Parts: sequence; structure tokens; C-alpha cells
Amino acid sequence: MSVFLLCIVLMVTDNYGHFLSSFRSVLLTALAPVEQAASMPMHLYNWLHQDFANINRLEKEVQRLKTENLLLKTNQLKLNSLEQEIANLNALLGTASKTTLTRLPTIATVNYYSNSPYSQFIKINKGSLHQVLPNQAVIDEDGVVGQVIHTTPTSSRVQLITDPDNHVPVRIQRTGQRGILVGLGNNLLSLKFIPNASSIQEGDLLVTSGLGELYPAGYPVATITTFAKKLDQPYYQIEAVPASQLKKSNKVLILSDTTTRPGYE
Amino acid sequence: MSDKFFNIELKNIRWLVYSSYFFALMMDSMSIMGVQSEGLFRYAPVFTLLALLFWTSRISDHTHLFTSFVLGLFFDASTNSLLGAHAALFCILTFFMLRIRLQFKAYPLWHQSLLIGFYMFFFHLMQGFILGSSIFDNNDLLMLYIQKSLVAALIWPLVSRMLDRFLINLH
Repeated sequence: MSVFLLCIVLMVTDNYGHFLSSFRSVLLTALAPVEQAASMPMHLYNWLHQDFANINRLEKEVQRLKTENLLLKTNQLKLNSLEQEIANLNALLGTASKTTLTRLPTIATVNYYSNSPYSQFIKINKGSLHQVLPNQAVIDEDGVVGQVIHTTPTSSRVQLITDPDNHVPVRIQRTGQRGILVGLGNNLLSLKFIPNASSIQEGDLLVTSGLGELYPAGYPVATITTFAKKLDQPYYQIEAVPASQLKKSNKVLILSDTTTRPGYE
Repeated sequence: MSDKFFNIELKNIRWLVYSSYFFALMMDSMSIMGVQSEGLFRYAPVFTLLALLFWTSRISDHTHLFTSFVLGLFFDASTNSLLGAHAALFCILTFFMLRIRLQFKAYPLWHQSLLIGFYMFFFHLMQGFILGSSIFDNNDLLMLYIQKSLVAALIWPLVSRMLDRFLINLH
């Protein structure tokens, strides 16, 4: 009976507070050897698969990456000049930049993603020893992946944007209309609080609005796939799919904490 | 079956029990990892719970409630669910098994499998209830959990025979 009561106390504490975060990290650290052993067959398969990879395919991959690198460098040059231009305009207007990354992003490899219907997360190979902290935003090359929720010394868990507990403040890039993106599980999202009178189109891109200071502004999050107007509801019923390759990404970027400066918005 | 088999003490087979829990947690971690989601692991039952129910039915000098609590906490951490949710469920099912463990050992294997299948379905039902998503609202999830419970019932004779053989060889 006392064990059962302890379980209930734990559930209530975990649901209404974050006091058990470090306890969960201890449990995850203790589970690390089990998870390592469980992922060994997968690593072995990948290693064998890589070892027998076709040379021609690797050459094509190198060629593709070189082309991509060239295009990115060109874009970087454009970006540098644009940043300079924005700085000049800000100086003229007397305002400061919206957000600033205080540290360089950390690159991490995805160890595995969860298949549980109740919780959508990925495990990455960077932890508190690499200065990864809870609540840091994680992105891949296509958009926002989620946020760090728990860290162990050598790994972290990232709650995906499709998790039902995850809420991302976003805006529709085309109109600037703000809303909250909520995870529905199964690689689906729902956009809330978009009034019936707003302009909505299928294929509209949703980007982070920067509100809440958790996700930096301007990163792509999802694309609207369906929307419906309900007569008795003041808001649209909107479904969206993530912009990022949530369950396919191998490498992700952990963004350092962002600071919103006053004088903007 | 010898008399010794029915009077197993934890201290004599501690390493076997702990290794089976380690192995069961490892299998559950593999099932949680999405890579195997399209394969057989999609229908894999909760191995930790199976191992727990097996040892609860076989080792009579312990209640196994503390073990179920600890394993449940590990399962919670592993699945990233509410801390204590699976611990409570593991404790409830261990308690159910404790109530009938003497009769359970005497049941034929098909009867044991039937009960295990029922326990597993109860586990998934309560899991949905505690974690805030009724499996009756989602047909796919309901079907998946029925299949998982059936698989648990089907592999119980295998798991049970295998571990029993280990025990007989040890004595």
C-alpha cells in the first residue's frame, strides 16, 4: 500500500512541478548501459551497411555535398551583406536586433527516436558534459525539431514538436498571424487560436514567432495541410505537418540560449 | 517437477533474476526505439512486466512490490512518461499475481497464457487511462494493444518454459 501511495505522490509531483527533473536524470543515467546494449544491434547493422556501401554511391554523395557547400557559401555571402544592412538600418532607427545567439550551436547525432504513442522524443548523443541544458531548442536542416527536456552527462532527450505536451508559439509567414502549434502525435500538429476571419491557405509556412523566448524567431516549424471552419467555433481547425524530418534526421543542431533584447516588438 | 523447484529462494538465483530484468529492460528499450517500429518489435509485449510476473509467480519468499516499483520507475524514465505511472501499474499487476500465485503455478500453460494476456490488456487499458489517452477513442491503438496482449499470451509458454528450464538446471 505504501509503495502504491508513493507512486501517486510521485505522479502528482511530476505532473505539477519540475522537482523530479534531476531524479529522472539519475534514472536515465542508470539506464544508459541498458539503452547502449539495446542499440548495439542497430549500430552493428549500420556499421555493416556502411562498410559494404558502394564506392560509386559515396562519390556521388561527396559530389552532392560539395555542390551543397558551394551553394551555402554563396548564400552565406549574401547573408553577411544583409546582416550588415540590417545593422545599419537598426542604427538609423535606434533599435536593437531581435535575438542573439550567445553561444555557437552544438551539433549532435540522433541515437534513436521513441516509438511510444504517449511520448514523442529523440535521444541525442550530447549531454550536460557538452553544456547542453534543458529547454534549449533543437533544429535540423529543414526546421524546428523540438526542445531538450532531460539531460544526462553524455546524452539528452529532446521532446519533439509533435508531442502532445509540446506547445510552440508560431506565426504564419505569409500573413504574420500568430498562433500556438500543439503536437497531436503521429507526425501531426494542430494550429490553435487562428480566428475564423483570418486568411489561411493550404501550404502556408509556420515559423517560430519568438514569443515565450524558448524558440528563436524565424525558424520554419510546419506547413498547413488542412483547415476547416466550424460554425459554432470562433477559431479555425487547422492541421499541419512538421517542416523538419523528425524521424529521419541523423544530425541536429542544439541552439544556445537566446536573449530577447528590449526595444523590438 | 521436483520439490526444490517449488521452493525457490531469491538468494540462490539472484544473478538469474537480475539478468532477466536487464535483458527484459533491454528488449523494451529496443521496442521503444523507433527503428524497429515497422518490424516484429511493433507487436512486442512489455517484457519487463512479463519477467516481473514470472518471478512473482515462482519466487514465494518475496512480495516483489519494491522490485516492481523500481522497474516501473525505470520504465517511466525510459518511455518518458509521468514518473510513477508505470511504477503504480507494475505494482497493481504484481499485487494481482501475488493474490493468485499459488494457484497460478498449478494452472496448465494455456490457462496461464490466458491470464497473462488479460493482465497485459488491463495494463494497456490503465496505461491509456493514466497517461490521458483512452485507447477506445483510437481504433489503431486499440488493435495494436490487443495484438500486443495476444503476443504476450503466445510467448508466455516460451518464456515460462525457458526460465523454468534454467531453474531446473540450477537445482
